Amino acid sequence: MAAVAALPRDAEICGCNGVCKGQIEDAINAGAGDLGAVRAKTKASASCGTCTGLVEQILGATLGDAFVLPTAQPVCGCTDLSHEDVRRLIKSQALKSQEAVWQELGWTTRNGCHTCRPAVNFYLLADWPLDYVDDPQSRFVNERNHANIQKDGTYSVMPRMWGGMTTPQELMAIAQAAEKYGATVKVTGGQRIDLLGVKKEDLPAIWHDLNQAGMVSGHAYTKGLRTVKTCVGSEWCRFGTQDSTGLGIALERRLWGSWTPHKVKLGVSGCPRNCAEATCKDVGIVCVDSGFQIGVAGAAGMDVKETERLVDVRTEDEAMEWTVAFVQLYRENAKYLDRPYKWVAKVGLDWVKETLADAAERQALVERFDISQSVYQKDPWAERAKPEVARRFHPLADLTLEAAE
Amino acid sequence: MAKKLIVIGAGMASGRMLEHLIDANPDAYDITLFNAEPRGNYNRLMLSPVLSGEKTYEDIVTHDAAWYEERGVTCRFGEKVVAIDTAAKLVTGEKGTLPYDKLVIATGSNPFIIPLPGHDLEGVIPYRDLEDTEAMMALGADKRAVVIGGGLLGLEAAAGMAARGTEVDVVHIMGHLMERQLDEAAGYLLRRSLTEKGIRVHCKANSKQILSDGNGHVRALQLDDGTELPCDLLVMAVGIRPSTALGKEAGLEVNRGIVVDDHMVTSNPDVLALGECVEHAGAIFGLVAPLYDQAKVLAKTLLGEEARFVQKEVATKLKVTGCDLFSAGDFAEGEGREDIVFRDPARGVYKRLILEGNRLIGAVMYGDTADGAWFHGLIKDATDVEEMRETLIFGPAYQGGGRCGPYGGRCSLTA
Repeated sequence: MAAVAALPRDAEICGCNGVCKGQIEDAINAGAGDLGAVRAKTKASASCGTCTGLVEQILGATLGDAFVLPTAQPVCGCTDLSHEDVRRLIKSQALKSQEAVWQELGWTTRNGCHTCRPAVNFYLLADWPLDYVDDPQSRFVNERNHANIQKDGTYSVMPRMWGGMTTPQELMAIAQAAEKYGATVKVTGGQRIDLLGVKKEDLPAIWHDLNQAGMVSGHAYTKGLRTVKTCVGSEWCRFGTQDSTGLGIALERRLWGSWTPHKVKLGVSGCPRNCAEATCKDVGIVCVDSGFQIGVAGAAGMDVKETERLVDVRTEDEAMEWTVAFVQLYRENAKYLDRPYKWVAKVGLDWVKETLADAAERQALVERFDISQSVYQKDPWAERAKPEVARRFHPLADLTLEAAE
Repeated sequence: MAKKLIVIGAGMASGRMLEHLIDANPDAYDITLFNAEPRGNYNRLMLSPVLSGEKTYEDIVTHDAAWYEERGVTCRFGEKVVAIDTAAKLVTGEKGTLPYDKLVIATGSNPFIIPLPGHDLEGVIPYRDLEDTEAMMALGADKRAVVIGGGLLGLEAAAGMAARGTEVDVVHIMGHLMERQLDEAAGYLLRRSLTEKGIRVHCKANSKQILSDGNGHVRALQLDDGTELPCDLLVMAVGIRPSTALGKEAGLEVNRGIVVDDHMVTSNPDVLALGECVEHAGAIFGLVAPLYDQAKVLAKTLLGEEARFVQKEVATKLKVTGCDLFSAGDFAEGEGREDIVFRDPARGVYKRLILEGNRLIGAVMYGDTADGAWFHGLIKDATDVEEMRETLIFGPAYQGGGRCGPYGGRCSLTA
């Protein structure tokens, strides 16, 4: 509560309704003694609700013992703020570095822990892509090494196949790489080919080989855009209503490389028969004669959940704009490690719909996404296949380098 | 007949040494003092308050020519020493040669100038002496300055100029300011305070070249990402190098500095040295506290008394109004080291203590440094802090037992 008590009166608490701390304090001093009363009087936390924790802490700080603070789940032992609180404060107080977060929000540890650092690192790079520099030390091993570590200590390598499309040349290059590095070959559920059992020291070389054949990382290891799954669409299928493959490729080319709170998977089906299984994706588009039905917040993992309809649009361009805006809204607001379906359940689909229905807001979200992509849409394989970086993946060199860093 | 003592360099270290020597025995030596600068000794540490306007030059003079003359010291100010003959025990100045029985070298240090293209342009200066300070003071409002170096001296220069209305950019190559004295968190707070004073801070910034205005004067500093920072004055404050040329020519053992033993004696038994020009046990010196210790030891050695110089933990403070910071000891992360951290976002306070076993080995503080001396004492004395671990970070006022009342601890320390 100390961090919230320390905020100046003009600190914005509720981003949706533009309510600052002073207004909330005034409302409380004028008799608003609980969350409902503050909401009724100021509108603070009355829209997406992610600033509820902050409003409650202001109630606590202003009323003292007269207010019993509900126990919100803090990020970790380093702070008593929740993820939502931290996100709001990073934005409203313009905190642009890890040190700024630790100090201004009163972290109790010197520089966070393995739980809060990846989250804070994501929040900072999502909100301040041009000011904040990504910190690889705050990432999980898979994201640091740009490959998934497997149970035997080897890694898997998965090149991107835009919209699930490939070519004979790419397949030959994959086959050669698999043979050369002794990899096991698996076709994945996301319409990709996974090469399993690659040794860490071989990673830069196999990336280099695949790069040479024109392929980039499939980001199968990131909290970011994974795959856009498509069906063959109107180009081949007798039932296809639109070019679902083309839209899927375009979406993947636009979204790849972006970091998100958790992984994001898309699907585009060419007709309601839904061969791309779009209705259980984070964003699933189903093509119909009249255009595109965009559903969001599906799941097919620990939870299985059908997407909910966000909007129906007529053109491919609109489908692209709404999808990008939705992903950016998710990037800017969700708790780290919440998939979109969990986030939407918290803030409410109505709030998401309402926000994105505003054409200016939608456009602003797209612009912010593009700014972020100008920094982050780059192939990690190409950078790490360079000799000076590649040495880091060699077992012995690895140890000495880490020690010297 | 008193023995002849020649001292080269009238700086803070030699000034303090002569005080000790003359206090103890005014007749022990017949003293001659050479100084290349045409003046006596002033408190160089206080140049920053002069720059910011909090003090004047007159306030910071400690030993002027009159002070020395009253004590029978022959002053040869503004005269450079050109040669030392250790075999014949002769010192040659620009105006003549003198014999000595004992010689003290206190030539101090030279500021390091990065050999960037354009470093010899007019308007590129170090921050070392009164002339440099005056150049900065003369700049004034509506002018711009760039300071290369975000260490102690560079930041004092930046803050001093900013206080006079000059627009200042600080360019620092490391990830945070004063990285030798502060950790990232305190560096962040310091940067925030300086930004609030209108100083623009660029960390992780590599200087590429100094650009000319076409008339031989500095126009801007260019960074290697292409950014140009326009300036009328460029101050380089990137460290000092011991001034060892005389010592080297005299055939003394010189590494980074003129090598001295625990008695401050060089490789020649009749030549002693102290201050920023010396190297003791591999270390060179830039802060004043150890120099004053050396001055004490050297005076005793000259009087034939036993004394040894011992290097101690030194604490740092920055003399910039409104930037309250303190650091002492070792605060690198390491195996077996633990941190105790306290932050108060409302007051902008950060405190971090570094423990190894039951001993405090380092302390970094920003915003509230009242307990600095107490923590410094715990570090120096290697006190066992096991008992007070829980409340250690809150300072001496919170330590129970018979130690002291709520204010007793602090009072006894500051007294």
